Amino acid sequence: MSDNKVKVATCSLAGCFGCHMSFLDIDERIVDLINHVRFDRSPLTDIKEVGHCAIGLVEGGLCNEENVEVLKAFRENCDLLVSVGACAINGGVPAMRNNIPLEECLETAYVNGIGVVDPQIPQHEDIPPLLNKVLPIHEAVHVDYFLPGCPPPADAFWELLTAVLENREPNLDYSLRHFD
Amino acid sequence: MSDQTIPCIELNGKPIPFQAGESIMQAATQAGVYIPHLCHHPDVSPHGSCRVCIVKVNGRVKASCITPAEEGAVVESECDEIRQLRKRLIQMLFVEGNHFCPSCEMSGQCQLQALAYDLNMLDTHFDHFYPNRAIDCTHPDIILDRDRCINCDLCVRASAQIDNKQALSLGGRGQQTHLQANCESGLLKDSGIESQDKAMHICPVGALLPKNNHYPQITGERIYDKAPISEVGNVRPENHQGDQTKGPIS
Amino acid sequence: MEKVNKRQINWIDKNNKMTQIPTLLCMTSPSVPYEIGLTEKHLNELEADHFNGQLNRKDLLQFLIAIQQRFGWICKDAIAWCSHRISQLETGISEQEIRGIIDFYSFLEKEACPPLHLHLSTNVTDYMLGQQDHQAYFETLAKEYPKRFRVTNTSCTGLCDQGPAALLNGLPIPALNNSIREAIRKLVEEQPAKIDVAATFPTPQDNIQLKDQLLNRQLQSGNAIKRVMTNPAEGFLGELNAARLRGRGGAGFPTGFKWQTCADADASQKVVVCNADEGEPGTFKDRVLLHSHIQQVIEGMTIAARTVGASLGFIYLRFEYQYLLPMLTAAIEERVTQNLLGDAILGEEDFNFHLHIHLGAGAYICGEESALLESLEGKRGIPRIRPPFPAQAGYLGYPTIVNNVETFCCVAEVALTGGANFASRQCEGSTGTKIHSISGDCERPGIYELPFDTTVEDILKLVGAKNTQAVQVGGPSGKLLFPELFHEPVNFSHVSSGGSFMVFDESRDLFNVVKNFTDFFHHESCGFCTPCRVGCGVLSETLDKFAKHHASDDDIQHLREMMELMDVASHCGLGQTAAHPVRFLLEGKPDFFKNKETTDSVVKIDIHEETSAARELHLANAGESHE
Repeated sequence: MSDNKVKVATCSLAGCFGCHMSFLDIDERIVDLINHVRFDRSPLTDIKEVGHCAIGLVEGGLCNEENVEVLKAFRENCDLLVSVGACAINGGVPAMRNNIPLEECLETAYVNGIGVVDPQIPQHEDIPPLLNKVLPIHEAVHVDYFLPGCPPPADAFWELLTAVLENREPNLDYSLRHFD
Repeated sequence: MSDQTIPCIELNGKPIPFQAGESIMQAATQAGVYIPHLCHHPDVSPHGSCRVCIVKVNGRVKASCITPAEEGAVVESECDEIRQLRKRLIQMLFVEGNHFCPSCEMSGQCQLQALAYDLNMLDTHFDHFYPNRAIDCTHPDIILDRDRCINCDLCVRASAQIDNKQALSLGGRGQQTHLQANCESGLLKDSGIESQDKAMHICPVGALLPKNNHYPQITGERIYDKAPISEVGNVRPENHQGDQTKGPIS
Repeated sequence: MEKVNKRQINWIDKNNKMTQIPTLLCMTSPSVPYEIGLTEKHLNELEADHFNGQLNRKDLLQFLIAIQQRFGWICKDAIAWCSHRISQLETGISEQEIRGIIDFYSFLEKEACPPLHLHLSTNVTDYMLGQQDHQAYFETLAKEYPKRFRVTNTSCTGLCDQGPAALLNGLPIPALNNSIREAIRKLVEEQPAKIDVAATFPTPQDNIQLKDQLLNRQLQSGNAIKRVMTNPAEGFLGELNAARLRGRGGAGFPTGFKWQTCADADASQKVVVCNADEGEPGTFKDRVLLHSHIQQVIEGMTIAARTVGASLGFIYLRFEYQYLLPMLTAAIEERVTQNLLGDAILGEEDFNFHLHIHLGAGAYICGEESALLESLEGKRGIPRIRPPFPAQAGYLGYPTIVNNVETFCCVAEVALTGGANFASRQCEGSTGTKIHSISGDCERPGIYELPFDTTVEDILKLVGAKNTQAVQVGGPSGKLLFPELFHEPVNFSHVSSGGSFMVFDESRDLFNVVKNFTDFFHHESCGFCTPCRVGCGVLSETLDKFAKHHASDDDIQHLREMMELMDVASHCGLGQTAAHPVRFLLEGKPDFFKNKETTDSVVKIDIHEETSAARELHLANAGESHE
């Protein structure tokens, strides 16, 4: 492992890890990639705290206080922050709760939900409080690049990473620009 | 060069003939030049509200659908400045409503989304409004999902001018402007709109949708999956009665 | 039409009972018979009294205003009645469309309203005079008596030199103070059947500080018309062009050109409209002209009618000035009896002019001439597509000239003294004089009529302004000027103004001023075009972030983008100027924004605020579990 490798961190906030799955769809190119990058904090490495990185890939929007803390750590440590996928860019499916009062959301899930045993709204100091609304990450921090899609295609990840490694602006072809 | 007897505008460097009284949009359409638009449709009167069809006319920004073509006018519709302004307008429409493409029936066939793709829009840029808007599911055949409505007024005009019904209108003011059903109850089921109405099929987004006809085409096969809107035009594919403003972009 | 509802209207529907409201006596109006609730009989009477027994589509807004004013709100059955009546005659209008119109106008209510409704003015000058304190007081009062009293806000009421101001059930109360507060509380507590507003509260003052030709003019009714009548109708266009008169409403369009277009149009009917929808915050000179110089205004309109060949006229009076209605109506009636209005004016065949007053209902956009015409036709005030211009096709398609109140006063002046004489007072092509409404941080706010070579500095000296940090000239859609530009004259070539002049001394945070103006535009955007409808929201919310110290460079960037986009891409002047306050401050004094950026260099949201619902829920549940 060479220290010349570019460090990359990834995380999923209010997302489904689908973007990470799509990232892995670069298939055998991951071997090429690993020759050039080293993964820092990421579901792929099990590193808990993000260190200084060239690139941070953030999947998912902000739905709770912990999301904001993680995002803050990413912004502080990553030279380039990339908003990955529909949820990070506009809140996505989690943001569909934004017009429903929080109490109603929680009651629907934990009190009135079908098959709920011992109905109660979970509360514990270790459970991070939910935000009033699910927010796209660019509303909380400055974001350098965006990869749209639900999920973004593997080729979009590839284009972004190779562009950054080659020190040029990423350029997503028409076929790589989609929001679903 | 243009014939002296036929008046011409210069559009993106090329002479385009027009007839007296035509708008720049009409002249461009007839010449097969696509100017991006949302609230315009050749079968109904122009409106000029979405402003996506802005162009530079002799250096000044104008909405091409409501600006009369004038002899010798120099029109630019694809310069960087205009494309950037258009992209911001599309982003504004995205943050104003609740547009969740991944679950939307019209994804891949939506003109708002297609323009976003064409303008290389990768993010929504501004802070989202996440407005609280009512959905009307009372009609047996049609859903009115105001979350996706962009207040373009096309259905209002189509209902009045093509269907002869005046089933719909815009009410309220400012950010509270909303599409409404013209009837005592204010509900779609009482408005007189029917699923074969032009009002129903002219919607450029997924605000007016047929019930029980979800996701008619698979991902990858949808119209704007295959080609950009600048090539195929503003088409609502379920009946292929688009506005025929297609044509190769010059 | 089939879809029109023909159901029987049930007047004893419990859910839609009208509240009874006390009759308000304004300064000059006779006592209105006291009404208990609204019945079909009332609507029939109202229709018979004011609408010749048949409500037309174009009268709908006036009818809704009449219901609103007499009964405090517009109930479901009244809406149904209007829909039913109009649909009997012409193209139908559904209840929902009427509700859509009611929603457009700030002063119309379709939900039950308490009998007393106070609108507090929210112009920046009202806040500078302590509005916040009164707001808090009345909000407490409304909480005490929710069924008797409501307090809400309204845009500038045109009483900036005598603020903080309010409207009580539509009638103005200037200079709010503790004793006025107590008087209002007393009304709420005692619920009298009649309230004599003029006896209970101070009345709006003219507050004229400096007069010149227009304000010195004491017009003998008919004299200006008589002078014009010595020439053929089109002859006056020459005078007007010689006068080089430009519109006084703010845009400065050459009046002669507008009239010529209308005169040249071939039409069976033409219309003259006086734009008295003085909505630009900080402007109140039209209110004074209507109050004290109405003869000049009407005379100017009548001359316009003769010149362009119009026989129909309207004064479009903003809702906030309806206290002037009885006086204006009397002035018109008097002129009819003098044969200065009506048919064959002063014996000239074909010189007919019938003048009506239409009220606005709380929409700044209706000051835009084509939106005003829509409103006159009883619709939502959405600016029209131009061309055609109103002078070609305006009210109901008839060629229509729309001019400001002060412009018509100038017309009367031109008629009396001649175009060349009018133009002799000029500065760099701006002719005549200009009436300014001056408010804010100065010793002598009020009305000043000044020549066009008067500089900002001159005005500040005149009004006794000290330590002036900035001046907003021409209202929020005008310019924010800093001392470097105080040497500029206020005229069409330099600092153009519709008559609003607000002074801010060094103690003011100009960011709050700009935020007030931006919120005003956000509230008043008509919602027609994307740049303005969404852009005003983006601007307003972005400034909120600055106010809470949670903004970043990205937000500065958003402001800049909106400034550029709205300016060039909006449909009308409102959207084109809505970002100007931000522009002037951001370009002139960026520190006002910089010092409000987030203190957290990374995260620009307030995590405490963003988790408020969760914490409230947590507390509530914790409370439950303890019980």
